[in-house]
Amino acid sequence: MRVQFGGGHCRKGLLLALTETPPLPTSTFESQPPAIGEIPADRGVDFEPDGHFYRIEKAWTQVQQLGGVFRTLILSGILAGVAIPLIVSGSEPWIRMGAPAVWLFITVLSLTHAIVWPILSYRRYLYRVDESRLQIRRGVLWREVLDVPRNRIQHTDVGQGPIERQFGISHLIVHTAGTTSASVRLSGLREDVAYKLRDELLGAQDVETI
Amino acid sequence: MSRPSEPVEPSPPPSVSEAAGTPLSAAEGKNAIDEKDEIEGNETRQRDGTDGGHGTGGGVATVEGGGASDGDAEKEWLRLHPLTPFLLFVRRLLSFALPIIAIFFIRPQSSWIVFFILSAAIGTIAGFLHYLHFRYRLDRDEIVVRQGIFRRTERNVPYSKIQNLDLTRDLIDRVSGLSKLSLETASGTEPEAVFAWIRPEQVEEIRRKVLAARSSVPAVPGALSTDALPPNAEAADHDRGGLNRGMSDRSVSERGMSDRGMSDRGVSDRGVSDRGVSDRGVSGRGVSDPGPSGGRLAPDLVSAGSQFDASGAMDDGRTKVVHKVPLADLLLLGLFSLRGLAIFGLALGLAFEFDLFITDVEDARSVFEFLSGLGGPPAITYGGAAIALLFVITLASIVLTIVEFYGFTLSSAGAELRNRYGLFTQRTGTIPRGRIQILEVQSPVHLRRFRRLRLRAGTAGGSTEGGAGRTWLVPVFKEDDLTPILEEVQPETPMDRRDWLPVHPGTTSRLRRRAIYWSWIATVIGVLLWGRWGALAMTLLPFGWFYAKRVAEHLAYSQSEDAIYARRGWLRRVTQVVKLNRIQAAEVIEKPFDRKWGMATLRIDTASPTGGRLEVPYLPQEEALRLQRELIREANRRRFKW
Repeated sequence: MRVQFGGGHCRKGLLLALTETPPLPTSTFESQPPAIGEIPADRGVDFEPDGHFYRIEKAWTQVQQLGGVFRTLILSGILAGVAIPLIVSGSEPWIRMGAPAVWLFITVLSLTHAIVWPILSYRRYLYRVDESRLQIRRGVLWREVLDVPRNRIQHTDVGQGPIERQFGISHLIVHTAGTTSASVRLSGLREDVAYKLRDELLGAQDVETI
Repeated sequence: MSRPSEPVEPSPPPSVSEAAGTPLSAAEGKNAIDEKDEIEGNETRQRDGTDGGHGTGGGVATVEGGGASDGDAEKEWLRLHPLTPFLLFVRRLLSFALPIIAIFFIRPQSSWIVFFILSAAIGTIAGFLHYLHFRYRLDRDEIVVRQGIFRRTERNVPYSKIQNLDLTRDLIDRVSGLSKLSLETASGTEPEAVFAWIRPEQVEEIRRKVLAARSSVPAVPGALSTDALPPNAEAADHDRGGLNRGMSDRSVSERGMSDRGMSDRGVSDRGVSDRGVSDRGVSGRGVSDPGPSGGRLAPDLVSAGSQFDASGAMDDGRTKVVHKVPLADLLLLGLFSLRGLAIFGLALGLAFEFDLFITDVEDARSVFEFLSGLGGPPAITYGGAAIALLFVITLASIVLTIVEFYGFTLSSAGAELRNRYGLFTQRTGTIPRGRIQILEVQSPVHLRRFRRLRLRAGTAGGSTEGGAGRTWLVPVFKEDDLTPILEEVQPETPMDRRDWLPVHPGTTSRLRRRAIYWSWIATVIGVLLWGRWGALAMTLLPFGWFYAKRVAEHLAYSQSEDAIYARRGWLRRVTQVVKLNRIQAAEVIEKPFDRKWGMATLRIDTASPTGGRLEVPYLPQEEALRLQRELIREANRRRFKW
């Protein structure tokens, strides 16, 4: 999968990096940030550090689904290992009938979750970068808006798991000195976007600190 | 251009680079990581140059067009020393040598030998793969490490964020003349990158870059000039390692350069070059004592420790006693602490274990018979027994509290606070002011009656010290002493604030509704279990009703120029404060039940691993987001330092 993208913004990025003035969009500190419940307007997947929301790659859904299906297979395999002896040599008829029913129920439930959940989470998975922070909004039932100040970022990882590689996407992990936010993971980024985001976050760090 | 004069392995044999490249490009032909290699393999070696470089369509085209620049890319990326797989093999062999020899002599036919050989072989192959896939690059501002076989990662660590460089040289390292370097940032407990093994020249270059980044950083209060470190200190370490310790394993921790290490110990630790003492054991750092057993010796830590010891007490002129807890206060603290209960439980457990006590109904009956045999009305007998028991437990609580906290003294010495306490084993703790992430004033209901408070700090520490966590700055003190104590501990954050802002006005209703639901659930369960009597669970409701009101009233937050405050609780009131430059991240969370009420929880994360979180629940959502935005903007304008 070869992704195409324009070159104009990158030239701008280079210029900014050389003059060492980080982009300071005026739209960043909107008078009222979008409510947690609503899905804010986004500008697609071609990330720019302009304070607007961007989406992760749609392929992330498939990566998650595939991972979920694998987990389901392992789970139902283990459960089958428990269930089969019960079916074969269950002392009571309700055990012989119940064991496969429970097995089927859990497997179907897990499979449904694996297929449906990523679709739901994808809708609510957005991020943005402005002059002071990286913000990630995500979550279906427990919705979170996570802000990491730029200059608290200690180091970053850009990585790619085996399934992610098949779909040409990467993830960015931002490490802070914090506890619950010691490593903040942003998944489903196109590889070049991940690198761009990383450069953006590490690049303009020590500007304007007290 | 500060290339090492003797690069580790600038251009490995083609076969090696082939092998290294294979997994990278396995998925879809040539991959962007590979492309980046080449784009960044230009002469500038600056991040700035690459910022615009990769990600451009042009860049991709270039890469796909020509593999001719491959050689340049390899020059930029450095590898571990080629002896690495061999050293790993030797190490594995040595660790398996003893069991193998033993088995060989005891049971030559044993299949265990196969097992050991197999695992050694697997380990060796893993080591070889690790070597093949490990590459690093020293850029202008950061160090880039790329590793992983299935799960590839590229890690960027800015030099300015590196807290610690740990250099280890054991026997094998010394024979081979190579070093193992681990570098740590303030994040997490594991080293962020381990370079095993590289040449000492490489270590020197990394160290130089880190030092350079440190000195170029705008002056940070508390960070002493890194020039105090002799430029060849580490080379000296190498020599000394060889001379002093003979063949035994040792490690040298380059603590001298760490901002943290230096600011912690204040001015007195200028003597980083006083390395002579570093082979001695460490003592006197109390709870957070790294100790020699950790396999690490931190030279400046040790010199600080020994100086600390030499002065005997901590009153060496510069220290000032902030607060000393009088015995009467400890008595008060012990009176209501449940420490004695733990002892009682322990005694009970032991009694059961050794059959000394009630083990069955018969014994229980005999106890009751004994009590009723004393004569007198049963109410008085049993009541008296209960009171006697309570008395014993309380007494034990008081004794235990006094034993633990006897003579608790908080003193301040330069940049750090010290506490010393204990009746039999005297404990001392060192709490550098800069390490305090969160302060917590507690006001439990029983102490509130006596106008007493408790002050606790959540501190951060690196992986080298066990000092991170929660410590009592003062376990109990008079309300009036709060201001003078805080004046010494963290003068920027006075806690007698007036401008508390309330949380969502619907909080009381929400908590009351929750009380109704729970009392229903409790009643249903109670009735199912115990029949009619289970309905008594309904009596929980008035309590919940009252509780909701009190909790909602006390929930509040407050902002100042330097800090964010939050208070909560009813029976055990807690007021927390986090300075804005200690904020690591802020999260606004909307839980499923929040949605209906338009509420959200604001959670502020700090670097203190236990209890280092400040939470304001039940905020109006817009307010939570506004607060989050403001706090993060302010946090980003302030430098976080240890």
